[in-house]
Amino acid sequence: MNPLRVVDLHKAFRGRPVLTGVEFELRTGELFGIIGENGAGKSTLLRILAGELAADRGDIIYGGTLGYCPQKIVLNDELTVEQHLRFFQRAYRRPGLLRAHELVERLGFDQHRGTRAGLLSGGTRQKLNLVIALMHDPDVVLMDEPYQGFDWDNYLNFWSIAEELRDQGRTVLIISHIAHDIDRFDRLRRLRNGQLAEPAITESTLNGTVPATVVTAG
Amino acid sequence: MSWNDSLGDATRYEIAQHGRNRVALALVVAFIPIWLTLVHMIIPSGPIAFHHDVTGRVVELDANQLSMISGAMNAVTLIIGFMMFSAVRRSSDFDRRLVLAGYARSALLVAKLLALGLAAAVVSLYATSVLMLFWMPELLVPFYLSLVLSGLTYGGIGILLGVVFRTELAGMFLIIMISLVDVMVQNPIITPSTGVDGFSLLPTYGAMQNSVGAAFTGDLSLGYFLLGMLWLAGAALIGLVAFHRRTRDHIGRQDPSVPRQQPERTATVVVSVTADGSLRIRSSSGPVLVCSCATDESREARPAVPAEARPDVRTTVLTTDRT
Repeated sequence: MNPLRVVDLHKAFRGRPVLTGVEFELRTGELFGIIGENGAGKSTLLRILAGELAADRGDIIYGGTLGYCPQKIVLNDELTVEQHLRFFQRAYRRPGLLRAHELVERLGFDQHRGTRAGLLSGGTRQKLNLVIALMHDPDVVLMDEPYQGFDWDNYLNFWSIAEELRDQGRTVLIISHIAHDIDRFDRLRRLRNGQLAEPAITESTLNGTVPATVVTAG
Repeated sequence: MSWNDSLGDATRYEIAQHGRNRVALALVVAFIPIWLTLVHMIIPSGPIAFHHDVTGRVVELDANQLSMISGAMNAVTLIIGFMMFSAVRRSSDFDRRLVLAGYARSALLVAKLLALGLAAAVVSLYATSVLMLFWMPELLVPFYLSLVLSGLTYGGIGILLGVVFRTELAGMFLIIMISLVDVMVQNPIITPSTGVDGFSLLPTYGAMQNSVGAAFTGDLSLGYFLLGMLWLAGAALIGLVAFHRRTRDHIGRQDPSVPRQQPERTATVVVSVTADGSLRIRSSSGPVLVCSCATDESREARPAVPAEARPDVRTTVLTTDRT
């Protein structure tokens, strides 16, 4: 059984169609990328998959636990990093915080565990946003541009975590608009006109300004 | 890990949040004594008629002391309303993320109400203590409870505004205006015609009537106390329903930590033959997988054969329309 299968997904906002029959399935142990122009509906798609939004029509069939890293950083500024972890430990019904602390250490903000989220830098807030999505070791991770605000080292660090997850049999779906990312995916789809298209695209169609090259993936 | 543990954590963090709301804390510490001292200094002592609906009589009260009750109630309602509005608005997205991750929504909701109760109790205690520096209400505990009640009422209004309004300015402005209009028009110095119809619809009407009774006449009414509770229940209920809707999990996970199994599904389909001889399949319930065998010259549909078991089969989802 696929960890996630999407069938004929439709969504419109005030009569304006955003998703018009999105269909795809994720495979166990793969890095799946979705790219698309601004306003193409990438975040809408992910919010529907994560349960934040209701689809107008279509089916989503889940085959495992979900982790979701939203594009907008969702933290409570009044709580410390450690309090966030404890809160979500309760939500995920995890016996301990071993994995969470390992991720915090790996992403290099161990020293901020007692700091309130409102006092963290943008990059560290994003790291915490990411740790919350991964700390329960989900079967499928949905991430919407999860490395915004990361410096280069942390960007690479993120990808090594994502690849590790893939190698451990987890399924990772990432929404991206960075041209550098494209060759990191096992499969890549482009969201255009409300549907996921085959991946033969050029980088010039992305938001990035990297010179155009033909991308092959999948 | 039980629901009680979830409630304990959520309540602790709600209280921590309120404790770190520096604007609210500054208002509590500074605004209450400054405001009451100003009222005490500015409003002259002297008799003024007040329609005490608990007894149905017009009683003569000291204008200065009556204004200090209005001032205390105004301060408590503003501060508690602001605290709840601020807490609900700021944690709105975070709460939704928690619920989607599997946190018990009911534990979050009850925690908010418990934190509201505690905040109203503490702020009202402080306001009563400050007021006691100037004069002593006749029945101290009922007077204190009336202030708590006014705080609870505005806590409910704060929850409602926090869910509905996304901008801090809009919510704050509304809380200030509602509190000002509500509390001030009940003061006969500003509105000599208190006692007219319609005043009973004001949020702090019950609390004001009982606080005047507790402070001066000793006449109290449980019904007037319940009036304030009704306001709390009404405003909080609308706010909590809105909170419930906003934190809905649209994929219907009961327990996100447990892998979701594909439900057994039954599709209801209508198969008809079109004029050109091809089949038209329409599903009124559930998706339909129609498998046509590439090696089968008869092109016979074989829906009973799982696609996974037949590598030579091309699987197509025809429709998920629901009628």
